[in-house]
Amino acid sequence: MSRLRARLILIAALACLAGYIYAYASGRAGTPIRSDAFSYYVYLPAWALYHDPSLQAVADDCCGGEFPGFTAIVRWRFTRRWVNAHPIGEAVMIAPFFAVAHLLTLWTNLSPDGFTLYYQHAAGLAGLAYIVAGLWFVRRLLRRHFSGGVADATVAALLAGTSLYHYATFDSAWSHAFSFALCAALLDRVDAWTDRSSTRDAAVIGLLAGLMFLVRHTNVMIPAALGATLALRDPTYRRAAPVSAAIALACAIPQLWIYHAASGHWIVSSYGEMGFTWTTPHIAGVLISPRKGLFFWAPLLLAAVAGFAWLPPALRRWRLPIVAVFAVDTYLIASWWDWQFGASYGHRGFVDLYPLLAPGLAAAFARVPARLPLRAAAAAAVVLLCALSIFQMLQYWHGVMPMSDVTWAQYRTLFLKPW
Amino acid sequence: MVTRRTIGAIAAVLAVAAALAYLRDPPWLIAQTSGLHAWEQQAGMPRYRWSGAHASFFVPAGAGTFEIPMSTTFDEHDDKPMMITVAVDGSTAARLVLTDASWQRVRISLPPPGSRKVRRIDVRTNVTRDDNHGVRLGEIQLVQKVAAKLLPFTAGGLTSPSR
Repeated sequence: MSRLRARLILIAALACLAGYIYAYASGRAGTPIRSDAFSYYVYLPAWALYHDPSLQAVADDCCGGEFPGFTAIVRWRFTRRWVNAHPIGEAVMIAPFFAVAHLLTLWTNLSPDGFTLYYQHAAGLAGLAYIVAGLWFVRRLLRRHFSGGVADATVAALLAGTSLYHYATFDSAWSHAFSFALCAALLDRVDAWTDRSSTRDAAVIGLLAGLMFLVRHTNVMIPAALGATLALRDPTYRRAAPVSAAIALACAIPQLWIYHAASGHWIVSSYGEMGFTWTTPHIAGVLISPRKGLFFWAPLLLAAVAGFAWLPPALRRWRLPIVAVFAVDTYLIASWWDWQFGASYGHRGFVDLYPLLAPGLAAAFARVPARLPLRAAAAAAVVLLCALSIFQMLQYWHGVMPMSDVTWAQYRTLFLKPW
Repeated sequence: MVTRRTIGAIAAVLAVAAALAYLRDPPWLIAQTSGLHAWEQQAGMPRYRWSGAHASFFVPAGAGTFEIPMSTTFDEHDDKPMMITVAVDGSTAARLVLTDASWQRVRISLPPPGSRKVRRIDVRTNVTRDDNHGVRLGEIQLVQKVAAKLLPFTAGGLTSPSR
């Protein structure tokens, strides 16, 4: 058992790889670079293959000069240049995988247009690799505060008991895999800060914060909350914080330049009429409804919420910023015009925050009494919830569970229905 | 003394070399396509599949000279002429401008076979119709040696029903 646990991350990687191969070999998932993933990825062929940051050369080659509507890449009204609603961070993180894919593409003589076989799976496998890296950071964080068994059980439950496995496999090229990894790494790094930490550690925190902004702008609240908490509580970080801030700002500059070159404005949104409905947020919808409710589709996370009452002393400093980030992000997600975030398994908007819930889940696991019957019952409940989550994910993959707008009546009819 | 790490490194290098040797000209390449929709058959038309603005597929390197039937739609709200460029392994081999909906044939002569068993054909259009539809591509027809005989691909981009 201990040898298995020592290889937990490797086993998680192999499990994700198996799911990935099944999703694509069975034809269930189409191609990795699709829907939103196209818009996050499109910068790479534009920069590296067409040498045209304006995106026009890609539009000409892929789409006859005009990007399709689903991309949310629109011509800015006054400049007629392309503005992409999806920022550059994911493309930056895929870049090393893209470079290998490009060399292999030339070697095999596939079309070097950025969208043929190797490019597709470079993007897909990049997402998978970043989820695995995120799990590695979560495990490292938890092992500083919990027993090895609790840390490993939390990592396994997070992967199998939530929609995380889906976003490591079926939809791995969407931004959530990348945000998950960055959030996990950031939480680990700020938690590991000591009075012996160096300027380099502060720079790493800044780099992670900058990348989080580049992948998904609203996620900037995560480094802001965690960084501010660390600065308030730790005078050594207070002195190093300007380094983090400077690196984060430096990371953001290319994105701001792209917006300015395309639109004449430093910050823009190409979503147009699609925006926030601040006065009518669907809070219950995004948290508990059968449509996309976070806790409806991943009930295991209720234990994570409860666990925040039992955090070990050294982790309690993160309780307030995590609760604040969760509350603000829930309001943002619930106020978005399409609060279900379109086709997705579970609510994908919260995947980015899963690392923040991991300490709570670990604390809940650690709280389980040592008496054998109770511990066995708790373990059985966790395994059942993980099995339910994986089964429902497979229902989604096979088209049994609708991609959105699931009603309670539909859910009851489809409950445990095989494909 | 040879350590386990050295043996591992040698094994890794050999594995990468073997993988690269295999991927130079893999047997599944003939079946690879990009930017092509499923085959369709309509009355009075040859069997065809739609391309996007850019499609690619592979043909046997020894195919010699062949023709590709092509057409696109022209209707009252979208009747722009469409220029089609066909490239072999990245080099432009033919250009054609479609100005009406009739079927045209593009003749391609492949260079002499090189070190690979297949050659890549890229088809690009300068404009697209609704939903990123470019040109309708019919089945390739071999014109050299055995005139008018359909090229007998068993799999891949453009397949032949007549075997």
